[in-house]
This record gives sequence, structure tokens and C-alpha cells, in this order.
Amino acid sequence: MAWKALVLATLAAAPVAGAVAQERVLHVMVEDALLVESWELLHGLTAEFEARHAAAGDPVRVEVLSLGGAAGTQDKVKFCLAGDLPLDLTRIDITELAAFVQEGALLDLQPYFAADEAWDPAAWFALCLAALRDGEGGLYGLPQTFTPYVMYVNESLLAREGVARPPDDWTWQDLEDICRRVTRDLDGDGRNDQFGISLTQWLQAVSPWLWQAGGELLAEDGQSSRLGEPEVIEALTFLHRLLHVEHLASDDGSFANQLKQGLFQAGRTAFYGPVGYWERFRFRDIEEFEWDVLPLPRHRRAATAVAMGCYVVPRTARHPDLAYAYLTEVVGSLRYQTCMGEIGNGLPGLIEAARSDAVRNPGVPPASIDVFFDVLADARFLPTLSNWRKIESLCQAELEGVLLSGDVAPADAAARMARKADAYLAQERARRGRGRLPGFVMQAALALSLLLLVGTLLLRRGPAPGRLGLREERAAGGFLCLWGIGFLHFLFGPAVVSLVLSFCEWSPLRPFGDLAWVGTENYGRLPGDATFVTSLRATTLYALLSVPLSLVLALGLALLLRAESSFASGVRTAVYLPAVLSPVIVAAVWRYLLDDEGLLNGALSGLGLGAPRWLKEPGLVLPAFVLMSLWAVGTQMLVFLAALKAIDPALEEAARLDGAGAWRRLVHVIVPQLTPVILFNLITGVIAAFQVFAQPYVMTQGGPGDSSRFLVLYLYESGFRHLDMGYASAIAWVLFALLGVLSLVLLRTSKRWVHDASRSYTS
Amino acid sequence: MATLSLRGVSKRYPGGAEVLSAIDLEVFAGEFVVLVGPSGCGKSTLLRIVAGLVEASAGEVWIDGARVDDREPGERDVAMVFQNYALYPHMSVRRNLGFPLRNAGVSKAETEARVRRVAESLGLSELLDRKPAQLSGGQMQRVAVGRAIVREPKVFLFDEPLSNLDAQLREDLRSELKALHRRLGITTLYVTHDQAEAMTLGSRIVVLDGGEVLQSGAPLEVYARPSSRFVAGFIGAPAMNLLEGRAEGGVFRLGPLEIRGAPVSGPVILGIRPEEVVLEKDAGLELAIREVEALGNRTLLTCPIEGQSLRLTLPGGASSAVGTTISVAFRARDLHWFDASNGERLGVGRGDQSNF
Repeated sequence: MAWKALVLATLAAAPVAGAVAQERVLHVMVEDALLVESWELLHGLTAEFEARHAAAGDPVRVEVLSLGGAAGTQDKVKFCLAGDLPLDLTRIDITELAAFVQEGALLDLQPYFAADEAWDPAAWFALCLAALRDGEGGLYGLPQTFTPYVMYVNESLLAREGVARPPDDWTWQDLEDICRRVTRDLDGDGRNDQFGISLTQWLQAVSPWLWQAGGELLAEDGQSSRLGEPEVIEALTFLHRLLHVEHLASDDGSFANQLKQGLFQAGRTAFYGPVGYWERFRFRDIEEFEWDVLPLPRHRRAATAVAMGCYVVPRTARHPDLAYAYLTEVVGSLRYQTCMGEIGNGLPGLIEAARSDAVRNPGVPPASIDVFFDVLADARFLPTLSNWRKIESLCQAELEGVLLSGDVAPADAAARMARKADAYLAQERARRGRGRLPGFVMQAALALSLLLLVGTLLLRRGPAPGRLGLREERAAGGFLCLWGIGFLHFLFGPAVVSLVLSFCEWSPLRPFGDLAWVGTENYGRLPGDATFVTSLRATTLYALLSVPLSLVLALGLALLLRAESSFASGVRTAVYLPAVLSPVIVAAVWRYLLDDEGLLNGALSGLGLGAPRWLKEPGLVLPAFVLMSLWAVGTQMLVFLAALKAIDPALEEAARLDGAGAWRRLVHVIVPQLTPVILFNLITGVIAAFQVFAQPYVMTQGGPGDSSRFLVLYLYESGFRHLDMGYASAIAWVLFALLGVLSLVLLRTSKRWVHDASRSYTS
Repeated sequence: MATLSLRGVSKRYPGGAEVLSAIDLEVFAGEFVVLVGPSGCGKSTLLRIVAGLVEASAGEVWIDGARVDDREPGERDVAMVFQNYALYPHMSVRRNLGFPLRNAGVSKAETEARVRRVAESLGLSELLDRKPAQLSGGQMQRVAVGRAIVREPKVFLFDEPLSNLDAQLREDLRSELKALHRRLGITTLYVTHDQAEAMTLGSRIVVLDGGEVLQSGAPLEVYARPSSRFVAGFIGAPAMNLLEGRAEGGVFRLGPLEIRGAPVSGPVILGIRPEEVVLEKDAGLELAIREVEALGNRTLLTCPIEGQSLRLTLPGGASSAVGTTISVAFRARDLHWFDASNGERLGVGRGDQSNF
């Protein structure tokens, strides 16, 4: 009866707990700042905030949550909103603002600003505030920090090469000329090791070149793309020429390399960019050379991009008044803004903070700090479009073909970017204006499926049990009920939800249940979605390569390591070790191993085998992932080892006496005995291969191009990056069906090749 | 027909005790030699050394005049029947029987013909398409034997092949094996811990204990003249009575028991087989019956004597009750004497004329 008491106590405690909590709890999601100083300041300001409210008789506790690493920056907020977790104030990237606003996920703070006597819009950079407004007078938050993209320059290198520092109004031609003059082979090994520019390659960094050439990303009305136009092709051709034709630029500025010590930091490129203010912080310890910043070179016109992080209040905020107060008194305060500028997060949105000596810090490079302010006249944000993330990822995949691997012609890439973006925009237009389903549909579906489940269970019940059977049934019910709760809550429920979602349109930014019915459209889109087709092909190829190779390798290792010796057991442990590591850690380690200048290439080039660019060549990235999967065969090997141990040793002895050599013993005696576990490893291996996620997520984010955008990664991106949960659910169900069919086929054919001891007794 | 000879074969496991010490054994062409001994005496190890599954620490193995120590098991031209048969579970009886031939590169047609012939001779023709799991114990045993004989090896090795079968089947197969050996005449080394099997099957038995050959000879010779106290106790069922007492002046004394003819003075062991103890009224040795085991064809009595016990067998119908007394006598020619300190046979006794 103890458990009954426990349940009663829990039930009784619930309302009491609610009554006691008189203080209000404010949930704030902040960006991970890199320095302890900013944390200390934030916590100090938060404590003051709490103290002020306590003194006013309104006790408040602030829960400061962290967004996590850069890759998760956008995702965690969406998880919170989709999961209905409490969140009152959060940092988001400005490129996501439109999506949040359009889905009605944010609170318009204009009324709060209007009622706040201390509010002075002129204190903030107008450019930044404008980006936070909608067209109808709404203002959704305040900037954290922002930065225009500029060019970093190694002045010492230029001086050494006898090249004058270019003027602020320099051009592409100037850039190319200087690059040509400084790109050299310093150590005489026949390969260039000093380059003109370390070129950054993510879309925001590439956009300025397109704009400078006179091109645009989207038409003004946002209804169609202009990515296929000649100006865009001209810009891409220019960059492609620098990188892959003339080899005047190094590609170490790709996004994956951003946090590593690049060639610029090593003093081996004259320029680095386009890139933002944050690099100032990273470069502050450089003593080997003098560096400064320049505006980006111009072509037909001057242009640069702006990146910005901002604080907004979700519509679901429980204490919007407190959130507003925290926004203006803490994260929007002069002290915090100044601090974020000081530590290099970006330029403060608050003008006074940005212009303060603490931020400008005259003694510290760059000398031309004013360049950051001067270029704002020509600076612009990426288009604000509700589904910009999706278009960005479509473009990014094509850009990598031109800039990272270099084997795609710029004109082809531009044409494809335009086509994909237009198709997506058209489809989004078609989606809009669809009627919403009544709010109870999801609950009704859940209830109905629960009834079906219970009904099926009752109908399938066998003949009435006897007295002992009844007792056992009751006991079984007792043991099962806990598990049953977990099953319904964490497996059955989500499965039903995702099935319903796969026939609907739903953004995780909208309240749960606010669905639009689309019928089978999500499924219908799949065959025409080039990314999905590529993803399916890549995943299938990966499974086709990795599963059989792992099986063979695992079996080979098991055969080699089955002997009882301390050496074998040591090697066994070593082989199994990767299996106990988190895939994320494994992936992080392999990212270093497979790096262009990583350990593997160190060994390969030491042997004179060259240095393949594993994670940057579309043709190599799949083999690289297969290689990685082979590293983790420990679990399969363990299963094989256990099965080998279970084989009667007399069988092998008999075969030896029967004159069978090692190969015939393996093929005719051992392998047939292992067929049941081969089938097991095959099915689990296929399922695992089709579900690979952590490795591409950590290592390549699907690139280069789409070549490692495996199904589950694409599913995840569709749901949480592109906010298309219905489509993501459709992918999930297609994957489920695919794996179901594959498993069934394997099981059916297995009767022909699997030796099953239990079956041969009955047949 | 081939000879098998072992010369000074020893086996010592690293860090462990010596399992076999310097075994010399000669199996003549066509001979059926049974290695018998208790568990752990090293008999299976010896067999596996011959097969090549275990490598000897020292010594040589010769088959048909060729030294085979360095050959793979499959190259020694020996066949072995395992205790658990070791049939390949995923292969049909046909493939099991044909496997050794296919390994040797015999053509498919030839294999099929020879498999048929062997199956016929063993009564397996109806079972050729079955899998081992669909066979009874006796059938599996026959398939195992068939797999051994199908390629006509020089030497047969049997490792306790009957111990997994029930009593009736064991006796049937025992005589089948014997008939098979008579028919094929292949040199055979057979390991068992069952002394009845050893007695009935072997043309010669070799008693092993503690890694050493204790005695080797024709079954009845070993029975009649065991070379040591251990062999005496191991061969024959029920086992020989071994009474420990003292002898002085040629007279063995154990409580009420007094026997003349003891070959030495001091502590000595007197051996007499239960079936050779005779009932004789007023013979002078009166014993109380402690236990009666009526087996139908004979009755086994156990009587305490000075803290030891004496067992004797009587014809089946004899009626004896626990607690009653009987009067027994020993005939001089049935007595065996063993040294109490090392267990070795002493002096004269029945079978002295034996060469072994």
C-alpha cells in the first residue's frame, strides 16, 4: 500500500506547492558568453534586479538559461516554444525574427515602450531598431549586439611584400592585384603557403559580394529570387576564380573552420573576410604582426551585411511585464551592453556603449575601429522572410559546391539556387492562407488511437485464464503499468502526434494544436524535393557501404580476438571503447582526425599518399563517414564474439579432422552457425545506418553541398530549422516505412540462409 | 592397416600440473585398444594429441611409420568420433557424411556414391536428408561413425562415444561398433571411463591414471592379474574388495580374519573379488550383513569388518536379511596381495603365469 500513499501524497502536495510559490519566476535565455566577466556582470545585474523587485514587495526570481553552442543557438528556443516550456525573454538571431513574428510567436513590445518614460529610441542604432520592427509599427525587442562585415588586413605582411595598404574605397580589382602579388611559396616546396585572402564562405559572408556586384538575393516583394541573375554569377565567378582557379585565396575561412586558428592568425594571408567584429576579440593576442580592419572592397557599389542578435519576448511569456523590465534594465543596460562590446560579442546596439572608450579601446587594435561605424551606411540585413532559414540552407548547399569543393560551375550553382528558392517560395505562398483545424483535433486523435489500442488489446485477449492464470495476469498488470505509462507517454503518444502532424502544416513556433490540414501534400512533396532525394540517396549509399563493411570487419575482429589472452582482451576493450562514447564526442574527435591538416592526413601525407580533403569534397565525405562507422564496430564485434563462444568447439575440431582448411572451416562451419547473429547485426546495422545523425550534425552540418545531409539530419532541419514540423513528420514516417519494409524483406529472405536451430527441430 | 605409436609423449600445461608423463604406447595394425581410466587421468588428452587437436609438450606420434606431430589434424589420416558427436547442425546427414570427402577434393559424384554406401551399411539411407536436430541419439551416433569411416582413415579415434546414450542403446551400439571393427579392421584407439565398455570392446586395454600407464594387456588378463591396487579397484564390477591389515609370519590379520600365505610382513592389502568370496558353514569367519542389494540375477551383500567392508555376490535367488550373520571363506588362489605403501602387486597369485 506504500505506493498508494505516495500517489496520494503527490496529489495532495501539488496545490500546496502552487499556493506557496508567491514569488514570480522569470525565465530568461541568454547567449553563452565566452568570458567569465560577462557572466559575473549578468548575475550581478540580475541580483540587483531581483533586489529592486523584492524591495518593492514583488519578489522575483530570475532563471537564467543558456542557449548552448553556436549550432544549437536557434534550436533550443524552438524546443522550448514547441514544448510549452516557460520562457519569458530570449535571445534570437535577427534572421529568424520574421519567422517568429509571422507565426505570432512574439509579443509586440511597442505598448510597453510607449508606456515607458525612460525609453529613448534615439539611444539605439536606428539600423538595428528598424530591423526589429514590423511594417505596422510593432517593435519586438532590443539588440544585444550587432556587427557589419568588414575586411581584416595584415599590415605587416603587406609592408613586407612592399604593397601599400589599400584605401577605404578599394575595389575587387585592387583586391585581386594585391592577392596576386602576395601569394607565394615561402618554403619552396612547390605549393603556395602565403595567400592573398582567407575567404569566408557562409551565406551572410558571401552576400556582400553579390550586392557589390549589383545583385540581389530576393526580389523586393520577397516573392521570387534573383539568385540566377548575371550579377550573382559574376560575384560567384570572381570568388571561385580567387579560390579554385588562381588559388590566390585559401578556403580555411569556411564556417567549420571558423573557430580554429586560421591562416590569417598564423600570419599567412594578407586579408581575412568578410567577417565581423567578433574576430577582434580572437585576434587580440596576435603579437607577430600588425593588423587592422578595412571596409569591404567595392565593385559596382559598396555594400556589406550586418549580423545581429536580439532579445525578444515570446507570446507565451508568463510575465511579459517583468520580461520587458529585464530587457531594458539588464540586457539593455549600458553596463551590460558595454561589457558585451568589450568582450567581443559584437558592437553594442546602444550607441553610448558602442562609442564608449571601453569598447573602442584606443590602445588596442584595430586602429581603424571607426570602419565598423563608417560602413553602416552601406550595410544591410539579410532579407527578412518567414522561411529565410530554408532558403539559406538551400543556397548554402549550392555555395559549398562553388566555394568549398570548387567543382561546381558558378552559373550552374546560381541557376540551381534560384530554381530551388523559387520553388520553395511558391510552395510557401500556396501554403499560406490555409484554414486552421479546430484546436481539439490533436486531442481527439490521441483519444481515438488510445481507444483503438485498448480495444485491440481486449479483442485479442485469449481464452479466459484459470485461477492461477488470473493471479499471474494481475501481477503482470502491476508490473506493466509503470512501463505502460512510459510507453503511452513517450512512444505511442508521440508516434500518433507525428502521424497526425504528417498530414498537417505546423510550425513549432505556434501553439500546439494550431494545425492546418494539408492532406497528403507533405508526402507528395517528397519526390519533388531535390534535397530529400539527395538525402535519401546519400543515406542509402552510406548504409550500403557501411553495413556490409562493418559486418565483415566486426566478424574478422571477433575471429582474431576470440582467443583468451591478455593481449586479445586488451585489444577487445580498445575496439569496444568507441561504443561507450557518446556519438557527439566521437564525431568531435573525428572532425579533428579528418581535418585537412588532421592526424589522418598527417599520416597519409607522411606516407606520400597526399592529403584528401575528407570533409570538404562531396565525393570523399561519404567514405569518411563510412570509415568512421567502421571505427565503431565494437558492439557488433561483441555480439559476434558471444556467438562464437557459444559454438561447440568440437564442431571446429571435427572440421579440422575432416580435413577442412581455415577458409572452408570459416565458410562451411563457423559462418553458418553465426547466421542468426549476422541477421541480427544486419538488421540493427541497417536501422542504425539509416538513423545516423550526430556525426553529420557535428561534423559537416550536411555539407559539402548536400552530400552528407542524411535523412535524419534533414528531418531535424526540416522540423526545427525550417519550422516545417509536418514535413519532418512525413519524412519520419517514410523512414519508418522504409526500415519496416527493409527489415521485413531481410527476415523473409533469412529463412533461406539463416541456420535456426529451433526451427529445424519442428520442420 | 596402420600402426600407431606414441613415444615418450608428455603434456604439461603452462603453470599447471603435468597431465601426461612420458607415455609409450604401441597400437598394432588392426588392433582395438581401449584407453580407460577415471576422469582427469589424461586419456582424452592423449587421444587429442594423436588427433592433432592438442600439441604434446614432448614426445613423438607415429602413424604407419611416419612421424605426424607436425601435421594438421586433417593431414594425419585419422578420423574421430566425439562424445557429443559434433555433427554440423546446419548440414543434412548427406552433407555431414560428404564433408570430409569434399574437403579432400573428391568429386561430387564420387562423394554421393560413397556417402550412399556408408549410409546403407549403417542403416542411415532413410535419414540422408534430415538435419542432425531431427535425429535420435543413436542415429546421431551412427552418423558420427559414418562420417569417420567414409573416407577410410588409417586410424579411428573414439572419445567416449557412447556416454551420452542410455543404457540399452549403449549396449546395442557397443556390439555394433565391435562388429564394425571386425568388418573394417581399422586400427582403433578408444577412450572411455566405463570399464564394462573397455572389457567388452578392446582387444587390449590400457589403464591410465595420473597421466601414466598403469597396466596394459588383454581385458581378461588385466582382470585376472591387476598390476596395482588402483587397477584392481577400477577393473571389474562390483569392484574388488581391498582389505587393509597386517601380516606377520605369513599370516594376514584383520580382526577376526586370519589368512595364511601373505607374501610379506607388516601392513599389507588383501584383495578378493566379491564373486569369489564363498559361503561356507563354520569356516571361522562370521560376518553380520549390513546391506542387501537384490539385482535379480544376483544379490550383493555388504558386511562390515573392522571398520572396512567386504562385499560379496550371491546367486539371484539367495535370501539374506540385514542383521543376520553369514559365514564366509576365501580360496587361496583367488587372493591378490598389494603393497600397502605404494599399492603395487606383491608375490604370487592367480594369473602369475601371465606375461604381463
